[in-house]
Amino acid sequence: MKRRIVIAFLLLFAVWPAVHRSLVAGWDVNPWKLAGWAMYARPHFPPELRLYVLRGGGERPIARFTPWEQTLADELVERRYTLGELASSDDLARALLERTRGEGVAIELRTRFLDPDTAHIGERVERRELRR
Amino acid sequence: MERPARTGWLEWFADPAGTGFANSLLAFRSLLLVHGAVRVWDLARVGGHPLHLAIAGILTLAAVASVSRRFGRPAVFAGVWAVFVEVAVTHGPANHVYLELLLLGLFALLDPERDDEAVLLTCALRWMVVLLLFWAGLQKVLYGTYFRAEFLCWMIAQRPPFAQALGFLLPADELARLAAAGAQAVGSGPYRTDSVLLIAASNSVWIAELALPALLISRRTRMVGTWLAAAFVLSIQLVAREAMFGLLYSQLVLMVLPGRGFRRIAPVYAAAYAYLAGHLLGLVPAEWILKRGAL
Repeated sequence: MKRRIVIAFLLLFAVWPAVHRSLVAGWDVNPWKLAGWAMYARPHFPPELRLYVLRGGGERPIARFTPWEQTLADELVERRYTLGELASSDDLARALLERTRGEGVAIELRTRFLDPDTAHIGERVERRELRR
Repeated sequence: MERPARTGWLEWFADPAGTGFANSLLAFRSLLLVHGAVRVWDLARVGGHPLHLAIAGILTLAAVASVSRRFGRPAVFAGVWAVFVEVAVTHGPANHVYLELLLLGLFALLDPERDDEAVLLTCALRWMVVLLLFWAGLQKVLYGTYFRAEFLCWMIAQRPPFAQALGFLLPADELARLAAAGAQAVGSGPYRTDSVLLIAASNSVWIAELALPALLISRRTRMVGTWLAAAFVLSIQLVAREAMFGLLYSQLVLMVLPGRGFRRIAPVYAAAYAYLAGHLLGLVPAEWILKRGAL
């Protein structure tokens, strides 16, 4: 029985980095984390979070946060850094929507990357809007 | 010397019976717990999660208890539970923490003092070395940032230890250009070089990681492959100043040594952890092997 467990473990250990590679490719999961053994294979930058209130057809940056919103924002940045696009921003979006006045809120995450074609640092912007 | 009766692909790495590899396993088991204790004391010291203090205490007790044959197994159970809790409460722990958890998990599953389980454990650890090296090399190929030294150029630009260790492979003006690039700003770069020396060094990393598993798998080249792999791992981790990963990874590699091989080297690792513990107490400097001053 234990031999079978060891074999199953080793097969999983052998296959997981391939799964991890597809998670990085598909959802920008951190290649340095989650035991995919891709540390030092590519830079991975912490994301930058920007938040806006949507009002009157335009948008205004949210400058002040409640302690709870700050906690949710910090957690989102940490989770996004590790889990990539698998990290959900729902809690933060709902909390902001509840407190602010306007038609909705927008969550923008800016992530940098080393472009292997140009060898320059590029930037990718993900934006999510939640309307009332 | 006889090989174990069961000989599937798993047992390819088995030592002949009676060569005393259980001694190596017991030494590695204790060092794993010492490794965890030193690592988590550092986290507790720099004010990590409130649970780090308790986890560090448990791992320390487990490390001490693991020396005794009577308490060795309970010590591993306590250790694997403590590191599991740590992983559960930490946002994205480093890969060496996962590796530590997996290794402790194997030691919890298999008793090194039972002959049949010691064979399984030895073989599992050795296959892990092969897979780790192979995947580390293949990932670098798949991400494509080593062929023209893109990743190393970026590291040289953003981490002074990389510039100190690898800067001599670049012309002075190229080194100055990378140092000025800053490595963080959007549009900065190009992180690429025409230096043949740095390109050769960069490509030699993934080539070595893909070639070393073959040397380990072949019984004829296993011994030389093990020493080459350990030297490779330690030198890479010294450049990166990843002391904890370097110590753990190189010990795992040296578990490929036959019989009591690892047991003979174990005091060197015990001394290394004592040195790091001395650093945590402020007694000795260790910045030369640490990234950003932390373990």
